[in-house]
Amino acid sequence: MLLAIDTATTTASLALYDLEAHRLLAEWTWEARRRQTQDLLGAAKMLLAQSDRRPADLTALAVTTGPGSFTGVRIAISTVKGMAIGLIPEPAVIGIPTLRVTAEPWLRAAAAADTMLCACIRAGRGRYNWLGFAGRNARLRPDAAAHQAGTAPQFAAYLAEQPERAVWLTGEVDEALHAAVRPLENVTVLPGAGDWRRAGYLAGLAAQAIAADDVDSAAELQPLYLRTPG
Amino acid sequence: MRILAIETSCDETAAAVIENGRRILSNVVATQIELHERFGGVFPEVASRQHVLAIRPVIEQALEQAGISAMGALDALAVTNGPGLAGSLLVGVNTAKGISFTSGLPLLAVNHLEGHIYSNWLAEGTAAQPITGEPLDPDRFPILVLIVSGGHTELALMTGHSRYQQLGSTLDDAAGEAFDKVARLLELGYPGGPAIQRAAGQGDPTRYALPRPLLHNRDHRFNFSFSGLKTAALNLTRGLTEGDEPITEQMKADVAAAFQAAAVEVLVEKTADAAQAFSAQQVCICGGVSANAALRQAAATRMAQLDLPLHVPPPFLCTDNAAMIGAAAYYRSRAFPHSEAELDLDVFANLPLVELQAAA
Repeated sequence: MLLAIDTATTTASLALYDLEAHRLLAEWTWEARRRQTQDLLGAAKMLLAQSDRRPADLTALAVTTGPGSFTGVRIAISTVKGMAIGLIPEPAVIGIPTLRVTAEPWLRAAAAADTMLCACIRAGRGRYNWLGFAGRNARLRPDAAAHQAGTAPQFAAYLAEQPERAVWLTGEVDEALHAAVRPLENVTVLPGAGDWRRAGYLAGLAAQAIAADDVDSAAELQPLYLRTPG
Repeated sequence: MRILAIETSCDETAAAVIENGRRILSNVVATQIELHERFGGVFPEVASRQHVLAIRPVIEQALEQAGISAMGALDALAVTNGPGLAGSLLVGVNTAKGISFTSGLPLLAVNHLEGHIYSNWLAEGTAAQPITGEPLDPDRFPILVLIVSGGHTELALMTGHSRYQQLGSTLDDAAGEAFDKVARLLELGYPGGPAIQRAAGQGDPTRYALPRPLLHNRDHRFNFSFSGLKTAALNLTRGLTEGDEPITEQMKADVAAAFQAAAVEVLVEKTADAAQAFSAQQVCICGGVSANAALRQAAATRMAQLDLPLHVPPPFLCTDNAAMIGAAAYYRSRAFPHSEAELDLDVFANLPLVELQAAA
């Protein structure tokens, strides 16, 4: 039984996934604002109870590692590290970058359409983090160097530099970013992409990682930082 | 009762296993001093990042050293949820809640300041970290407490377990903060407390006169102020040489000695005054600055004159640690049997000691 946790941004999401039956049992996504610490485990308790499961039934834990709010990412990762200590036997722990999860619902369709997919989140102060995906074999854990950061005009300039193919844009596309990309004929903002990232996709990616025996060390798991402090 | 305690309120990642509030089974502290040295103080984002990296190995080490192979060998968990750096506190609190969620162990939230107070209740250390001296009488109240650290300088009257009456606090800088700032202006290094102590050891505390702020101020009988003392040390240092001429190492040592003597005198005299005013049965000094040898010596001399038992923890329990959190949690759970934290436990960067009684 796998519990997937995502509090990387103001959107929080949890999913419970049956690793033996390979199916999603429950998913809950909500606007957590800054209440992730207060709400996360209460929500997890309810999610497990709805599926007649107990915390002790968990054999795997998945978490988004960022980019995102430093605080939000650290809340989920710290919770996962603690949950792993309390479980016997030690559960598998899988960390997946936030934008990989954001991209997951559209990746296959984008590849089939020979279209580049770009996933983004708001990074605060009018800035964005984004990650471009091309082709079918997207890496499970893109590293910090693969990510981009900048303002809406900088993001639009990046997208405009991909003239040889169409670009689908998904994730946290706010009004400022909409305005910046509107003149770009090669860019399509995916309908209904909205702000919400769903942990069901995180759970699916984590299940793939477990099947490939590609799990992380709970001790060494840490956020994906795009810049150094100081 | 065995408690696994976790403390991440500032720049130390710490875990400990404590038995019945008095016996240390393990006490592991991963310090970040080297990481913050180049900033001249604690850089909050750096501290948060390091806590995430260190928390799991530190907890594992604490469990292993205590001989705990399964969570079932524990009775409860404890964690600091304030005051402190919010980003640092979040790592400890969420880790502790995660353990509690999957293990089913009850979780006790502890005020960091209360933890420092209860460092004096720890009576039995480990082979590597022994505790010597006359143990504190654990149930003899009232107790006059001086908490003196980098973030806090407070006088409180403890009327029972987890029951406090705040008598006074600093109006500006904490004592430890003043030690850090004076050490920085004298270019003595970081952290400032040990640096000042080292330099003062080579200096003459009577060579320069520095003020004793609020020492005889009746309106602020139990309050402190260290900002003015720091400024006086700054002005003194600037006036010691002319032009660009650097001050000598001996001058630095003498300024450090004068500053330390002034700070210690204010701390000790106000503590003694409060202890007498409230008929304290025992006196406790705790917090990072209580590791200062001059403060320990001066306090011992003064309390002996008053025939008051004085308790100051060994230096390894003066700085932030989780053993003190485990001790505080034990006595708090005894005083308030139904004080377990819920899953929605949050962190509080500002969490006054006096609120504990009302919240319990």
